[in-house]
Amino acid sequence: MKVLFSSWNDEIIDNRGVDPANWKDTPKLKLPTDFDKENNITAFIGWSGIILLKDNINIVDMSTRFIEKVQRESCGKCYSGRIGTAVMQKILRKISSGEGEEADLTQLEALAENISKASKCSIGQTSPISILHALKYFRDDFVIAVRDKKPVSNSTRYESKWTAPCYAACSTGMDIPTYIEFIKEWRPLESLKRIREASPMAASLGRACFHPCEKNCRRENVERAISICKLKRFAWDYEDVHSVSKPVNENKHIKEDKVAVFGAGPAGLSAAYYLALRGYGVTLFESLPVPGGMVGVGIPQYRVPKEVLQREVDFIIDMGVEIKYNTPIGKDITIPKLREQGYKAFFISTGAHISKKMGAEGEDAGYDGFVRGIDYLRDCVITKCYDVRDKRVIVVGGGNVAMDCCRTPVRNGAKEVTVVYRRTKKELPADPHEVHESEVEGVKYIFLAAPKRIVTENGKVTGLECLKMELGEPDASGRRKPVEVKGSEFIVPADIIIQAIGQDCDLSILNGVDGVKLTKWQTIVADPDTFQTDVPDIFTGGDVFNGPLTIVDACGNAKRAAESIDQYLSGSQVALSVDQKLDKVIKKLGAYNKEEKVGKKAGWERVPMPTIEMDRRVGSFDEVETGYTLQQAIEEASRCMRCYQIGMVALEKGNSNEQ
Amino acid sequence: MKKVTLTIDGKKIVADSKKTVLEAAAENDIYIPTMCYLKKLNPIGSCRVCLVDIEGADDPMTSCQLPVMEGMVVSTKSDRVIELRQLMVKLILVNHPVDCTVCERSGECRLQDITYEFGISRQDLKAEPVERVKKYDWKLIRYNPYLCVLCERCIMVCHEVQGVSTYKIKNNGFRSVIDTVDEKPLDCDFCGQCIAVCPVGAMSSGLVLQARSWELNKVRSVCSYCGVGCPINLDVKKGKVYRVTSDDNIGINNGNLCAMGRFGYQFIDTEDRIKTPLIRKGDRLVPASWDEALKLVSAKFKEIKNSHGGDAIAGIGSERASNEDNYLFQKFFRTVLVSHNIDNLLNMENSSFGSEVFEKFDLPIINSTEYITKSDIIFTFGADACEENPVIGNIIRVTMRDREARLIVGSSRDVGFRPPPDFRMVYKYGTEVLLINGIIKSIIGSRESEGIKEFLDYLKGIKLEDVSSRTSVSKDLIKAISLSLIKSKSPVILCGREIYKHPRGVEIIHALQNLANIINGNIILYREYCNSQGVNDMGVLPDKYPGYKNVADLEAKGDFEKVWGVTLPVKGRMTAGRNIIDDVVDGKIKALYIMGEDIVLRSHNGNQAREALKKIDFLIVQDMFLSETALFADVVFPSASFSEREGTFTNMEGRIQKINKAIEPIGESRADWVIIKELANKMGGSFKYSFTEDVFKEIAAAIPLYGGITYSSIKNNGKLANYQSQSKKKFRVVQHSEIESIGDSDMPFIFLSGNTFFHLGTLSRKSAAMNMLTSECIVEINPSDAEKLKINDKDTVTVKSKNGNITIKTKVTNKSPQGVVFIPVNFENAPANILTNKKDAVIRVKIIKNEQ
Repeated sequence: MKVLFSSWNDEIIDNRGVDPANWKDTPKLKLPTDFDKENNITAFIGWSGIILLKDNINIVDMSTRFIEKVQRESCGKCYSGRIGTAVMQKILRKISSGEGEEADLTQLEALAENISKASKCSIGQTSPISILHALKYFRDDFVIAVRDKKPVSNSTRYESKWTAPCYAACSTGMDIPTYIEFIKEWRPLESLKRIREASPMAASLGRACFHPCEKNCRRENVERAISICKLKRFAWDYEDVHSVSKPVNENKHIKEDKVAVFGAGPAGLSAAYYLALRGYGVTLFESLPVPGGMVGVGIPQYRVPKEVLQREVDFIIDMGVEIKYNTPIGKDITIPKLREQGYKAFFISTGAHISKKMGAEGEDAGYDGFVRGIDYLRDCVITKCYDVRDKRVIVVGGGNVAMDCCRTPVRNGAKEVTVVYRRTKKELPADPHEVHESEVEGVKYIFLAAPKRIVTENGKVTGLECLKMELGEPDASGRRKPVEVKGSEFIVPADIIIQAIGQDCDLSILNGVDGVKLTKWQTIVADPDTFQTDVPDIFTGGDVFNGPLTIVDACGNAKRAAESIDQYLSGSQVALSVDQKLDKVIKKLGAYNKEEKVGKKAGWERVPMPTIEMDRRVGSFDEVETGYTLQQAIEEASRCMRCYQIGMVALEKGNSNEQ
Repeated sequence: MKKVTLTIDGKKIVADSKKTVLEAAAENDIYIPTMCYLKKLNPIGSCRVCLVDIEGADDPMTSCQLPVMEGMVVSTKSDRVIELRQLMVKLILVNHPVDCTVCERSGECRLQDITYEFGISRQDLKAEPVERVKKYDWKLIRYNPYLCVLCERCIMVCHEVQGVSTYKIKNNGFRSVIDTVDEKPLDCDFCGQCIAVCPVGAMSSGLVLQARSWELNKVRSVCSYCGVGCPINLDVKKGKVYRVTSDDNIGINNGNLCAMGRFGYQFIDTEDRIKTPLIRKGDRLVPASWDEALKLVSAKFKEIKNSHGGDAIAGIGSERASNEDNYLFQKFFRTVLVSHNIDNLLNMENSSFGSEVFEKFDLPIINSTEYITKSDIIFTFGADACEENPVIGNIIRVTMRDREARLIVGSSRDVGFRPPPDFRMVYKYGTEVLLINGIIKSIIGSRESEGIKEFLDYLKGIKLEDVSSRTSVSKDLIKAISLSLIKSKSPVILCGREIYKHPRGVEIIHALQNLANIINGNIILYREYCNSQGVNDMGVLPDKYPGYKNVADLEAKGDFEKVWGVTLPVKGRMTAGRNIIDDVVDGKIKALYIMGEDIVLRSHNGNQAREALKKIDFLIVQDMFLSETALFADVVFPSASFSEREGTFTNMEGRIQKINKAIEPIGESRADWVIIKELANKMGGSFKYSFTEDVFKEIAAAIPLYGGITYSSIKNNGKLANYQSQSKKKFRVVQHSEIESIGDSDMPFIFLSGNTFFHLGTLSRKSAAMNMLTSECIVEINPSDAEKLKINDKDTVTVKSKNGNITIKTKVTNKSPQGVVFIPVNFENAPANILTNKKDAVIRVKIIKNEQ
């Protein structure tokens, strides 16, 4: 993008006095220019500097407004942040009201410098930086304000919001620094309360979340990210183990409107939870006999035990949710019929439970020994695990489902388990932690190989013929595309082949419904902000909207969708709030800077997660990770740097903006 | 423990890898200034005053939170950190009014000290002033937000140590203040730890100090309430106690006190104190001189002794009086009156927890609280650690924090704990033995176990289903508790008042002993009063000499005859199976001398006590106050409070600690032992003691338990008496037996009584501060029971047993399980002991709602 001025992330771009035609492009900077339909963004000030898109901003005014926001948001937990910014605020207000003196600038500069060094959390550490930038790059504006002794213009509309790198990375919008601080302070129940404001699934997320937050953790810039995910589990486990009375829903069934939710996976459960908290009667229709969706029938028990999931679901039910199991929608029961029964809104979160085909010869022939990954995992929970005892197993694929598919046979007594993946280890999309654990458990890998043909004898699998691959040019995903090596066929002997290369959605739920659009990947189309489909009373979220993605995305979609459904049913506009718009702006701009040099002493290592011994893993579905103890959780939480930061946009009416 | 090497200010040091930079520096005499840091709390990091520079890190870091790392190079005195620290203090001074002349904390204020230390004499920083609300409606605690530095110590101590978690930071930024979590007026334990840890004058006592800190002389003493025996300071100016404080790192309490300990001292100089001896003239007690009173008593005693024998005179010693008082009390009876008719209330109510504690219980019942602080599982049984002995609650909580100890709370009421225990077990009162045996059975399972054959055979017959249905504790819970006890490396079992007042108390302890044997654990028994242990050690017992030597044992008799230079009576207890009060009612005792005990309110049978006092020919009561018991007296001796004399108390650990004289005795009151000495000498005894130390010297010589301890060696941490712990594990077959239940068929509720937070015994009722917190007795009843009876919270009801009834307000609470009601003892306006008459029975009551 092209900007008038930017000091963002220590990169100075100064186009003041330069003809806009000659402004250079700055590809790294990703500040959106639209705030919403009515307002454009003209400037941004925050934790890492100042960005100006137009020259109509009074920098003295913006600095003053910013420090006022900082002072209002600062948590009061350290002297420098609490009082220091109040002193800065007084000085800035003095200057902008035309009563400043030259000495004020010196004092302001010194204070900003020191507060940024001494503060406990990043609000105090980072906010003064943009003031220092203002004083440095816009010194004339301050000098004029002090010299002319006239109040500066203050007509610009500003909106501000706190954020944090981890928070911005989490689709549920979880207040991570606070829940971690509560654990550090030995207040696990308060921590859980805060977690539940963003998701009711702390047990599942705390065990099986893909944790994008940890990939955006500033502690990673020091040595290693905080174990954010597992600390969430600690909070839930604490409540569970101590059998304390759980929170009750004081709004239970206070509203007359009923909402139908389809699919009791993370999305469906979350939507049902937040709708129930808002007082709606919620019926959750589930086609399977068990709850949890992919968490229940996809993620094996050694990662999320069935009992844990059940207790988590029980809590959601207690909020006023009714679950109807074994009730698929689209045949006997359809959405139009439910509409007739008085349901006022619908949330579709039926997931993606159909295994994708791998394109190998013979995969539709129904050979004995060929299994689809999702079916394999589901049968393990609902009926019976496919017998792999003393067999050689091949798993095709490299995602998290493939990991679950290769670690499960280990527990069922397979002789050997091999994963076949068409790229290299570096490109494996699965969580590296899962890959590591599978290796610990003895799983072998064949990289740069693609399945070509299922080799059989009398209808029974005896092996998998593969082709060698090599990496070519990067594809749309940025990963290098695997290319076949001609004539490189080789056979991997096997008794069982489990195919786990992705899932598709079953859309029979839409039978009888007109107007809901689908993407070319056969997922449901909806507004990505509100999750409302083109049919106003139908909303969606989770894998059926995203395509096979993560639990946390499903939870995040659902939480927002529940809010949209509430807006829809209460007759208000289904739209984002100012805070949510700001979150979007910040997400695009990026709340985390991988390159940032964090000035902390490295070496405070992450507390390792205790796991059970190898001999208890083979042949058992005991949970592998045993969870942090109190002391471990407190120590791990103490590593958190509370990276709260504040961003503020300047807005201008009008809906066209030059790019 | 792993060690790391690091350099601080050029000095190479080796430190434990779990230490912080601040701790490592302090160990090596390197000073880093602090403000919010407090050793007994997890580091907070709000003040930023302890910032240090670390090589390789751009930003300075707080040394209180930073763990030491191998090869770390720390600078505590770089120009930058000195400048930043200065700035932090200047920032506090931005809104801190320099009202030191009118501030209570002046002279002991951390902000004053550090401002001076940093040489800050100018304030060039300003912020726009913010209106804040002073909280002066928080009863015993006052909060002045203008003085507050928001260091969060109060929040943390309340959460980590007291477990109440009542405070939070309200508002953001410069508008931040401390408030209660629900923003309503404070309603908490009123332990006042928040005041104690406040570095400035923001948190202060509702009992406004009215003295400057530098005028106060700190006199070391021991709290005179419960058996924990917290060391305290009496802060004194010109013969008046202005406040009670305590020091961290000393004694059992590490600076912690409960509400009574900190605020309950006002009884010392209330108007109610008896200032002269009183003699009965008709139906009035009139002031008399010491000489007159002593002469009267001496003459009367001589007369009774001559006509009825010495053992027609009986004495009741005190769980609140010092060892010296109690020792001389029994010596007076044994040597001058020639009577073994002395006892103390604990022993009278349940002798096994008084005199027989050493014979009947072979485990080291009396133990240092180290057994708690070093445990990994704490099992409280029949104890309400938060309310009964709040400081034990503190110790448990801190052990949970620091050692991740798990907590099992078992009680017949849902007493709970803060933070929530790992296991909460509410059993049916009277089924304790069965429950413990069930746990043992579950632990042993089918395994081979040590223990005698009869015991193991007996266990075979126990069925968990049966245990579960009769105790109303689920099988799963019993199994889960058993499992965690098996896994424990150092379990400890704590028994509280519920057990030592229990009709089956002995059996319960024996059953717990079996359990402790199997899990290699220890048992700790709470003591109710500050010298419940000492009064028994001193031999204020009808059948035991000091040190638990049997009166029937001729060798012991010979030993004491040698020490005391007299011939001692052979005959022991007057009537087997009956106690002194029974004997008074039976007409066998003509005169009764009660020292520091209010039997009307404290004996388990209030009606009988009243009857006895009406019946007795001659009653002497020695007390600070005209108690319910003293109202019956013929002669009242005014005794000095613990703050007006010296002496020793022995706490629940068996720790002998010293009280010191802080002020002159009120009026003509005298130390108990001095009164006894005078009386003894008037009656021809030869009690030649000039000082308290002389008495203690004789105690140390006469009682091996106290042998080798010199008075002057008893310092801050006291001296542990020489209790021998039994190393041999003894198993007994302890069987459950049904307890007689007394009550008509329309009396459905099991009646239990005990202590509450703000009152213990009758002393606290003389403290205005304590009465401000609670002055009214209540009956606790389960919500569903209340609903059935159409009773609301705070309704007035009559509680009726076969023995009597009391009128009282209700407190509807889940703490009482269904079918159980609880009434605190010691309230003269609703004496719970009117309802009870028999100590080895369960009393049932009914509740009748009073019409308005």
